[in-house]
Amino acid sequence: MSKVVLDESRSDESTKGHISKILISWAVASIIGMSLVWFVLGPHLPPGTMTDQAAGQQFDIKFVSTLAVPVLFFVWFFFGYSIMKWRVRPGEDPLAGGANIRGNSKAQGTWYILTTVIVLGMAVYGTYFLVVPAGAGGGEGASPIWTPATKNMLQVQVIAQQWRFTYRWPQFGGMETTSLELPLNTEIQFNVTSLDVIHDFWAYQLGVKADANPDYNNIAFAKTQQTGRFVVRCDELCGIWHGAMYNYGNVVSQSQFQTWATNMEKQNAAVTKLLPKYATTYTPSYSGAGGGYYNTATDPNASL
Amino acid sequence: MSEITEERPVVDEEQLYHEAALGSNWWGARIAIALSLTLFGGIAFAYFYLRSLNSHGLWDPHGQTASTLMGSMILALILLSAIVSGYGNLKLKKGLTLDWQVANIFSLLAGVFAAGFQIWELTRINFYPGAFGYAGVYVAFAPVYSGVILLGMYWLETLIARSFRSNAALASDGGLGLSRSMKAENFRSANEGFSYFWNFMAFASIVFFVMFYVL
Amino acid sequence: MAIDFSKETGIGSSGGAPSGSSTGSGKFSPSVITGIIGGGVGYLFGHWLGNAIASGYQQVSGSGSNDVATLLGYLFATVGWFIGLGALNYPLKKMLGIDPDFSEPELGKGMSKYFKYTVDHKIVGVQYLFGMLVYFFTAGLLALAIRTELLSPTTHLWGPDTYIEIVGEHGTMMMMMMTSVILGPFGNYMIPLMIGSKRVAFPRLEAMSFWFTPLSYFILLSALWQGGFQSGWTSYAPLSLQQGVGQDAYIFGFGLQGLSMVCASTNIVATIINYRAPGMTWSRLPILGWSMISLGFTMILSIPVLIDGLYVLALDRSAQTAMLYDAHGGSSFLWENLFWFFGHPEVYLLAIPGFGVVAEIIPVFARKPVFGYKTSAAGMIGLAILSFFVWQHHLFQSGMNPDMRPLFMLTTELISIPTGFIYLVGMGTLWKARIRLTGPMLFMLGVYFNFLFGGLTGVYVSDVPINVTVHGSFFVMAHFHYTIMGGVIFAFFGAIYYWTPLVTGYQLSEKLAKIHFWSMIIAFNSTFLPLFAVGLLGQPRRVFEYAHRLQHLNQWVSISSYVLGLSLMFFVVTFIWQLAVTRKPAVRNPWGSRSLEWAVDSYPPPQHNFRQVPVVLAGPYEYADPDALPIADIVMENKDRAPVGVDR
Repeated sequence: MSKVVLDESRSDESTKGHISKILISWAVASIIGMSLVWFVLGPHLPPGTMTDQAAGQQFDIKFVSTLAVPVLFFVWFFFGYSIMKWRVRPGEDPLAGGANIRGNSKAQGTWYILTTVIVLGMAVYGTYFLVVPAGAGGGEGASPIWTPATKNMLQVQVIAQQWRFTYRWPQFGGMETTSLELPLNTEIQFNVTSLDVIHDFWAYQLGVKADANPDYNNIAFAKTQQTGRFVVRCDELCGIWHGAMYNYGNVVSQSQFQTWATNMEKQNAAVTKLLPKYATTYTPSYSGAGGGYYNTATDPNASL
Repeated sequence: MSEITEERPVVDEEQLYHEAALGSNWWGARIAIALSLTLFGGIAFAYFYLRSLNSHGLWDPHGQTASTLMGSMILALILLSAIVSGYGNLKLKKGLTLDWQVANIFSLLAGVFAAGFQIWELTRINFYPGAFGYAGVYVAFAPVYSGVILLGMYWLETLIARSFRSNAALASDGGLGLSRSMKAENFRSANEGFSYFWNFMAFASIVFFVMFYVL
Repeated sequence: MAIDFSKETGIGSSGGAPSGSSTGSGKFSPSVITGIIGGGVGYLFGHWLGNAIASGYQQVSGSGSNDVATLLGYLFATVGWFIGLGALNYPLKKMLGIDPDFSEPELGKGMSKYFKYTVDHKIVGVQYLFGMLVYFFTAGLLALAIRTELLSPTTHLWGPDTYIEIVGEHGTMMMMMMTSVILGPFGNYMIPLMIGSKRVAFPRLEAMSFWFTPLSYFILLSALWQGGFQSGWTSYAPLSLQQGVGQDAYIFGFGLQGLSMVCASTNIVATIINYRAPGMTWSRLPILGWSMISLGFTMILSIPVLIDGLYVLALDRSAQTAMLYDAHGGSSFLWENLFWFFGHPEVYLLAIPGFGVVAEIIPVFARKPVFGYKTSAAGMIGLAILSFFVWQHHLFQSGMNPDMRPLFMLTTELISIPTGFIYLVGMGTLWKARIRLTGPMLFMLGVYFNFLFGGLTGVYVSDVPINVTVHGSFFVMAHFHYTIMGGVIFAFFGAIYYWTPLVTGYQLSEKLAKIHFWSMIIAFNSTFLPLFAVGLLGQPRRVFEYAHRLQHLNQWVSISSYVLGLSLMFFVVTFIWQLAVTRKPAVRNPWGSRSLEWAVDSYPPPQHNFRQVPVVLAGPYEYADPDALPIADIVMENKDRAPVGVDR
């Protein structure tokens, strides 16, 4: 290879001028961008404020989006500036070398420390907003460790099966309904389970998402704070009709809820009698609907 | 193309690639160990995971296991095979190729029998594969175990066949064990790689014996 | 040397018996045709055997679908395929005690060598390149089929079953192919050249690794004709236990691809460690080498767990074990753990080689040494190590180990530190550089642009409270398409434009490359950027019905995806056109690279790469050091010093 020709102008350039140009434009753009995200976009971000948990998630999304703006802009501005400034112009020797910089301990050190601090900060932040709002609406398994202060909660069991959701209400005689009505300003405990494959109970506006595992009780909490309609979708692939596995629910006032629930209990009384006893999980057996589990001694069909 | 002739160190290509081949033997054997380790690690994870979950109390409700007698025999064969093979390697270091060959043929037979017994044991279990958690993991383990043993025995067989083929040619130079020829060095490094692998398998056999028959 | 064994071992003799890689011209010499015949015969035999064994089983006679027969069919098809290819000749000969055979049979000029099992790493690289392109375009067409369905919020084109089969097929095929998309073509082809070696450590493993892929391609695709699998590429149990025999195709296809990755990474690791030319120290190793070695080790330690998982699923489906079935003492969580223990490292297996290519190509067009060489190597290794400790972030809402979530949130966010290193390296390299915006360079900058979205949204997904909203939604889907397609695929195409002159001897048009780049990056962003919004607004993945209010966004995305498809079609047409018709010969070292692969005698490189083993004198990135020695003691001729991509 022939000798490397250097473009001396690169090495002679002052570093400070470039850095201040990038930093100033970046800072201005970032402040504008961050305020736009925080004040303009922020209030409209999903999933809304129907429950405490949803509001918490909305705040988190707003917070992270605001923080993402300066990162995004820094990389963009840096790349944009470099490409514009240090492009090879027509007529210049295309193979002349740039500045012979192999590294810069100051820049690298700052970068390492900064990214580490940001990342650790994000982890602490995320943990705080996971623990304080009682699991942030996510599934917390059978024995949740982060629970709401009150023990007096409305219990709703979400039973997923291919391809629909039903709901059981242990506090209303163990009735099972196909629709979901929730009272306002109430702490709700969702006990999510499945009869067959893995589903996922996603009440979008409530900010609740929990996998429905067969033979497993996955608990999630939410505290309602607004009335309105919400959509429930299955969020874990569960077979052919996964795409059609959704329904709607409502958050209504407490008195409306009482009326609805007592009515439903009365209406369903005959059916409720036939249901298996309320349990946190159901294992379908060969001999009946739910309840009990596999046992060769009593199951005539099992040939194992 | 022109060459820079000055300053060029003399590169003995044959020697260079010979040493690279030795290094590859070393790494190949270690990678084989790493692969088997993670392969068996996944099965061990399944074992301990299902055991700790004990869904419906059906990990192993009646304490059934596969035949302990057979399991012990398989373990004994594998350990014997590893020990005898190691003994053969000691002899090889002293230049006694014939001893190495005899020891490793024995080792090979012991390994093949162990794999065969493992399959036989699998056909003799007194529970159904889906009856409980232990049953499933055992049924999963047995074919993998005997399969890996058989692959190891294939490796050993190629070494034994190589030793028979090349030993006569190397006799004047001290035989496979002592010869400084590349051929012998390559053989020794492959053999060394195998013996590490085989010792690892002996160790894994002990671990899985404890898991499936003792615990 | 006392004993002449060159004849016997074949070292240094071109006339040595070519083993396991016959290039004989006989009618029945092994090639892809005999492979297909062998595979077909093997499948029929295995299927017959499975029926003979299992047709009486209650499970089989009750359901009419015999998983034992299907799995055995695939197993024997694999064996038959490799017998037909002649890949088993050498292992069987070894049982007769021949010494290791390092010889490479002389290859002819024709195209037939590309359809045979050969041990030349350059042939394997080219085979991989075209194999992976076939994979990519098949799975890409499936993606367009998905987007077509999503033009309307209700089911209209495919039935729900076909739709979900297409989704699973697209995901599985892409995931299978992405792991090899850089390692296969460029790792296999370039690494031996870059490290100054005449050969690779385990050429037969390398060849095997390629020949697994066509088989797994056809097996996976065959699922569509057998009812498919409706469980997606993740195939969560117990849904995957419900499926018909299409699920067996998933298991076997994915398993074969796993074996392929194991073979390829074993070879690449041993090659980089042992076959570096004298003077090619670790601190002179090209960054692509560092990325390949991190990739290789990660694969070696994670793929066997995938094979375990698939094996467990196969046994549950065929031998009626119950490891994934709660009611019999198993657990569906077992599959999720085994799958994601592989699945998460895999995601970084996709990113690492992409970063390697980027860090390799950018210095060439910036005329500067790579900034923070050690940092970039440390970034790759850090990614590889950390990737083993994050798998449960896919399971934040599963209810499994909820108390571990803060830990996995931490490890997941820690991964952004080594990822950040890659940005630091890129930005530092561009600082006071002399940037040439050639086709390959544009693709590399595109990787940085796209991956930034992927990386930043990665922070959203890793944050557990936000994860509650975005888990399993189109947001996640857009996130990983940005990292994988925006990262790896852009790097892949950039690498194609960069290395095609070397691989084929033909120069690709810069103008067409730029048209391809700009159409692709605009269409790509127009396709996937709205999907973040779609996901945040509540559309789950893998659905054929969605909220009516999201229809406009979805239509926008679908139409953009067609444009993206057209852009890729443009690549196919122009690429083939330039290789087959215009055939503009490449100048020597067209990009002015210092790296060793360009120092070979001719493009494409001669069969044994170098006439003699080069002695490496300096690092590959000394573009701005006037006192630097040439990289090796062979001098690159650069008579016609008119690199492409510069207006002069």
